[in-house]
Amino acid sequence: MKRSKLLSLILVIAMTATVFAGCGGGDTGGEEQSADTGNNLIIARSTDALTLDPGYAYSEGEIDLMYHMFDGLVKFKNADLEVEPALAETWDTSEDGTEWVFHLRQGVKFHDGTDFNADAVVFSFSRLIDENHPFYGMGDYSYFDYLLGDAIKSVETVDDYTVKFTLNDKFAPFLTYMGYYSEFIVSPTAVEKYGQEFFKNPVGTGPFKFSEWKKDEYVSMTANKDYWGDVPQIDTLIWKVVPDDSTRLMELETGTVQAVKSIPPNQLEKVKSNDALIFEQVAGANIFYLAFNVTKEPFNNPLLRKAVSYAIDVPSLVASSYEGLATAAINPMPPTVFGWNNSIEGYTYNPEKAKQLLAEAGYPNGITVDLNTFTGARPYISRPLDAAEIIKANCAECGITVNIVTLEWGDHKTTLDNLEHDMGFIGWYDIPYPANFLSTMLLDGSNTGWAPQTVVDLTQKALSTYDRDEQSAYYKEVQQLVFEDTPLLPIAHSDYTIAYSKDIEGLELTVTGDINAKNVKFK
Amino acid sequence: MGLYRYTIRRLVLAIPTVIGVSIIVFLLIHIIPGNPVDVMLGAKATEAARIALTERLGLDQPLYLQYWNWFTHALQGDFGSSVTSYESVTTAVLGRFPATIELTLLSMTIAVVFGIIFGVTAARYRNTIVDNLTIGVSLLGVSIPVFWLGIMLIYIFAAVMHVLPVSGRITMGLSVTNITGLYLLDSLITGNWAAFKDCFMHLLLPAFSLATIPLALITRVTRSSMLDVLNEDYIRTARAKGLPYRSVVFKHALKNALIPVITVIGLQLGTMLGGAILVETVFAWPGIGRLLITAISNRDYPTVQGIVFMISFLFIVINLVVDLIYAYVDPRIRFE
Repeated sequence: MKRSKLLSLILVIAMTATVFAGCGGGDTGGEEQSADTGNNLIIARSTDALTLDPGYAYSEGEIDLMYHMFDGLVKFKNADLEVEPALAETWDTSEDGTEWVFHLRQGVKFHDGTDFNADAVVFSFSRLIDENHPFYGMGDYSYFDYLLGDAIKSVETVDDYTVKFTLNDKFAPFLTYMGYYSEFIVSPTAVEKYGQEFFKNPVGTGPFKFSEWKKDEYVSMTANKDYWGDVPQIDTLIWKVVPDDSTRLMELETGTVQAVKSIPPNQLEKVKSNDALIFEQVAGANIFYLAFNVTKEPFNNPLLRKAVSYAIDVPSLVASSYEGLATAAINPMPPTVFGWNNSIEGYTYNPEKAKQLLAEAGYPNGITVDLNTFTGARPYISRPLDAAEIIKANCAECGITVNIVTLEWGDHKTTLDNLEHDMGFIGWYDIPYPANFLSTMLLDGSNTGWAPQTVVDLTQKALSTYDRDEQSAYYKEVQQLVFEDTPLLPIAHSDYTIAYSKDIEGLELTVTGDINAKNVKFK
Repeated sequence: MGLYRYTIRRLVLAIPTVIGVSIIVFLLIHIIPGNPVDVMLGAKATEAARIALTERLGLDQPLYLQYWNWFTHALQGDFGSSVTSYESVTTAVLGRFPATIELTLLSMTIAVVFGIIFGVTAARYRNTIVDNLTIGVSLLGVSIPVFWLGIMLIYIFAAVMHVLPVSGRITMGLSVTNITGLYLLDSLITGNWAAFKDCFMHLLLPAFSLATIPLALITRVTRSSMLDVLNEDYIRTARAKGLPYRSVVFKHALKNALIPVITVIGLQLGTMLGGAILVETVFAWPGIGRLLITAISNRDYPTVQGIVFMISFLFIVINLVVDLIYAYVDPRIRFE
């Protein structure tokens, strides 16, 4: 009996070992993978695209891809989003600023062989603007519509390589927006061929051609050897979806992917200390802020809004919530955007002043308010619940009792959109152009209910001049008014991050937060 | 009551369950606060887009009519089309099922084979170090969070030892001719050995992670059920007639001890579909769990409803099959 006991012990151990031995069976498995990478670049991201049609793309998972498959008439040349020629070589504008004529590049072909010309440009825009166009409404939400839908009156061909855009009024961001992905040109032949399926079969003029999309797995593209600009030096570009943060980093560490977008704060040390990797961060065009509901008690009282603003130690909050991946905010727009008002100092942490303002506001014995926050991460904050706890503690010291109300993002957004909150966390990420933050966000999407006529007038004036200095002057005034009336407390501008292997060079994170892999080469 | 009548009775009893599930799944879209169209499209949407989506989802009709339309279509396998991809929900789900099935089947095989062997061994050597070790390990198996285990396994076998791939279903650049959608089977049929080996390597870690909980449960149930059976009179009789102990354990005892084990296997098969959500996320496995997670984060309600209903339906079917097997194996049940 004793012998059989020993035997069975060996048996159990052997069984357990078999499970693992099965795993160890293919010693070459890992090596094969890194060997056939060749001249193929694989970038891992957390989410997949929903559409590959630039006219209807809007999420982070899609925008990266658009810049590689499509081109616009113009492209961004610097951090201020001034533009340079792309599919258009030159352009001029009428004296009143409502007509823009673009002279197109000749000899360019779409990936399917279709000629790029004025008809293609008119087709690309008409399908988004003209309700009677046979290919209108191929998606639910168009970023183009959001940016330029109300601004453009018509798009016409002048000759084969000349296009005229007529605007309803002068529209300051017009040329900048023309460089954004939602204004990129699609192949009319492909749209006619695929119709409603075009979003799965994108055809543009960009440096990479679409080759395959396996949903939730990857999108792959091959280099367009006939590209009109600099031809890519890599053969294949693959955007792999790896939802889990830890798994994604391990893919990079083992070399199965060469780059990973958006490094969470808790992986920062690990990435920075790895000699085989390069880590980069760029200032993000976004803002995370505390929105006061100015339409109802108690935050219709500006003194109370100021009291809360003095009670919160914003720099410490940013330091502990973002671990060095953000800058503390002063204005409702990132400092990297032109027109940022550098004479405003913002609120500095001052509990005494907060208590004094609280008393002046009519609450000498303190007050209880709700703070609405949400679960999950957004591009401008990865841990909103931590930030809420810090604000609660800060406020408690000044006699302001904060009830934290936590909802799932969708419900949270609905609550704030309906102005049912006292104060709540919210944010915005957009093109780094002042109108997007100080007009669209502030007046239409700030979740504060704050839109004084003076501010509406100022932003209107800013939108109707092409002179950037003039625009800056108006926008600086808007920022001053925001500071004085405090409908919101700016908290942070989160950085965009990327980590990539030292085996490659030329990978870039743009000011709009998108990956540019057009110039990548293996060392 | 014969097996035939018993089967009919169980089938009829399953109908109210299916209807109940369908009502809950249908109401999912109406429980969320606010207008579902606003929630799905977000604040920036145009009025035209909102009207179009409202009509597409039939939200302009009375609730009972909406339910009736949804349910009658669902019974025909039509769950509408995805809000984000315009693809038919059924097509999307069926396209993803093979990945999950492949993962679940391999996991279940690991769990059943090793669970029964461990359970029998532990029962046979009751109160010895072997028994204690088995029970200890299986306690660990149920307690370890699956996603944590998955990450640890990737760390050890992929990041440190470099013997297995980190994630995914197949190495980029390799492909399998699609016949059944089960990569292992398809690569076998086409004789594509490189792909077969590659897919097998990709399957091991997720399958093992997903197998831990059922493995532990099957081990424990097999052990306790074996202990009960081993105390029965007929076992003593068999031993007394001089049959070898090994043959008594495997031929007489195990067969009778398997009835509760079958129940556990059936229930675990359903639970595994849920566990697959975590495992698929950690291992970037393109199965039904990932589709569900993506659909939830995109607020793609038709897809969420379709997946939840189909998984619930599958769960009901599995339970039904288990009950029938149970009745077949143990005739006493049919007559109760």
